[in-house]
Amino acid sequence: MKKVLALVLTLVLCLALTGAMAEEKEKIVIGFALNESDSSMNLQREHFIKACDAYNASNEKYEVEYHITSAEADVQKQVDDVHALIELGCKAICMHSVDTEGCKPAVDACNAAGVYMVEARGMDYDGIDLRFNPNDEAAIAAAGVAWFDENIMNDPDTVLKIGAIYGLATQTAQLVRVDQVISTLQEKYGEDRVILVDKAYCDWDTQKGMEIMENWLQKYPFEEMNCIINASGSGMVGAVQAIVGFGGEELCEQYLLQTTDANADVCYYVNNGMIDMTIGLSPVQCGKITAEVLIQALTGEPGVNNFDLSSGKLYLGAETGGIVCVDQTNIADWYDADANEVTYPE
Amino acid sequence: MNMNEKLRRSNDRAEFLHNFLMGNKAMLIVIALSIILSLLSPVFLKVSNLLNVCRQVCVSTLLSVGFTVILSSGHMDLSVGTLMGLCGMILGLLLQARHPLWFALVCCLGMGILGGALNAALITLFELPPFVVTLATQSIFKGTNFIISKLVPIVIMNRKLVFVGQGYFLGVPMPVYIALFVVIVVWIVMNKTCFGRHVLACGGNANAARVCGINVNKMRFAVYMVEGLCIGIAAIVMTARVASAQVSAGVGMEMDAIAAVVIGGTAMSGGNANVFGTMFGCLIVGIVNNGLNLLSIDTNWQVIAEGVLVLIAVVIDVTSRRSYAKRLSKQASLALKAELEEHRRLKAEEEAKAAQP
Repeated sequence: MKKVLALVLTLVLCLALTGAMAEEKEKIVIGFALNESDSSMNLQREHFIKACDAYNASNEKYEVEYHITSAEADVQKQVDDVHALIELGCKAICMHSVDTEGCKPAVDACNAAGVYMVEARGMDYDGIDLRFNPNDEAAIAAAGVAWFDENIMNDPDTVLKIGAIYGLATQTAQLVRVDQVISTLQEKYGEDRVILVDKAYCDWDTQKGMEIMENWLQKYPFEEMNCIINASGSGMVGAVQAIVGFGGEELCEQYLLQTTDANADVCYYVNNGMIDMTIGLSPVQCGKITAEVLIQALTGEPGVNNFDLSSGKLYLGAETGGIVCVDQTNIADWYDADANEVTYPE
Repeated sequence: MNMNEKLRRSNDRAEFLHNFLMGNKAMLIVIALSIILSLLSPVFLKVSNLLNVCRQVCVSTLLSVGFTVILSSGHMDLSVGTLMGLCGMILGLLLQARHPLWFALVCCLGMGILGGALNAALITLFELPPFVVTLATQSIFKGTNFIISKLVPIVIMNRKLVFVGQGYFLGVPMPVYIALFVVIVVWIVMNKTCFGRHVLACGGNANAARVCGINVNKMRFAVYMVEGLCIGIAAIVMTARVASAQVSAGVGMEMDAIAAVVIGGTAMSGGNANVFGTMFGCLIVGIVNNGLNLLSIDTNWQVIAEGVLVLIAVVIDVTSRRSYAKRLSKQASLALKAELEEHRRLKAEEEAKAAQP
């Protein structure tokens, strides 16, 4: 009986050791603190997870454990979320700040706990280890200007009479994506060819975007306003419907409509030629790169990409080609890229 | 005609004028605003712009009319906006899955009614304050919308449905007909039916209504379901108008509804329902927004303007009620005084008669 028992114990010990050897990979814990659960952030979350899973499947040295939170646009909740991530053992956290001022206590908490902090919404604070900027507004605006240069302004008779629609007034960073396009075009082509007629805030809301456009259609005939630059894709969807309701799809095709965000509904109108161009910020790339950056920061080893983290700055638009001008010429590529989840058109 | 008769008639006229002004203050504000804006902007009085304003306020009118029923019954609902977003998303998803339009519309309306019934059930079963329950269901509806939509907006390609939101009949936008129809029906229900009186009775004093034999719990279910139906209709119009089901649709619209109902003259404490007032309340908000846009005034001022409007409406409402109550009490004291004097006079006469030999 003793021999049988000893044999069983030995077998159990061997099995346990084998298991332990199999799980010998060093565990690293990372966190992703989202600002809210909109379609873009949801895609980022999805591809962050995919990137982590892909890393775990291919890497034999490290095992990534990840935790994700969403603050639902609540500053206090985000600070609490980051504290919770620290408690869960995260050693590197990427935060999309709800508010670049209000979320500073979350950065302080990371510093106090020795956690590597990546901030992705343009917070200017000493405690941040890496300023990752997937929403590089200057790069978005530059992409917009380049598109106008290439496709619109090469005709010397073109005069843009612009209605500018912004997102939420309190989110000052997004103003750049409209203002900089207009001011750069005015500098290049003169204020007689690029005229700012009116501006308004749609608060990222489709209905409000529609109401603004409906009012403008009453106030400014096509001859007085022929171009809409909208910071918000959802607001532009409303503006498109206002124009269609006012004068049909034919009138919509006459307007020059440019926006940001390549969500499903915006892409639908780009594909149908009703929105001329939208600047797509690849949430797939953002999510993927966020995971890679956090892993590289902890392991010191590059993954698919080798990022230079030493400067403390990483811009998605400038360094990884994550910003794309999506129009009718490349909408198919955009759809393909979204499906393939790997690369985006140059 | 004697002096007393003249005084009585003059009092009646003042009473009538006072009641008319107080009962239609929202309409009078609409007229005043229209005059001011037509002087400031030549575009404002154009028929196309007036129709534009009417079309813009249709969704909030539908939502606010339902909210008027709730408020007049002494209840509160903070989930109206997110429930409307959920109803719209269900409509979009069903159409995307190629279900027939009628089926999608029925499901959308059904979801509204179901959502209302859920609120009523939670309030009744657990005897919870409506404010807390609807605050919770606000999040539940929002979260459900996020989950079923996977946070992706849906483009509506059904031409018939889009016509409901963007089409015209006899030169008037379709949503205007729908909103007017609902306003009239709800007005009839609230003012000309037994159900409406029971709702107001529950709103005025639920305990008294219970003592009078009204089933207060049943009424609660009914008002929340009526409101849910209005939300469902609002969701259809909203989805049709923007030709897409948006994930964030309706968020924050409960505040617009509260503003419109209060401006319209329905008391926050319940007991009265000014359905047409609510419609004019929505029009005031719409006209102010439109006017500020036409005058190229910063849109941030619109937010302030809405707050100021609510404040003005509440101040007018409270002061007019106070002055009315004061006037009533003054009239009552005068009548009492007159009666006392009459009594004294009669007594003096009797005493004088008795004193005569």
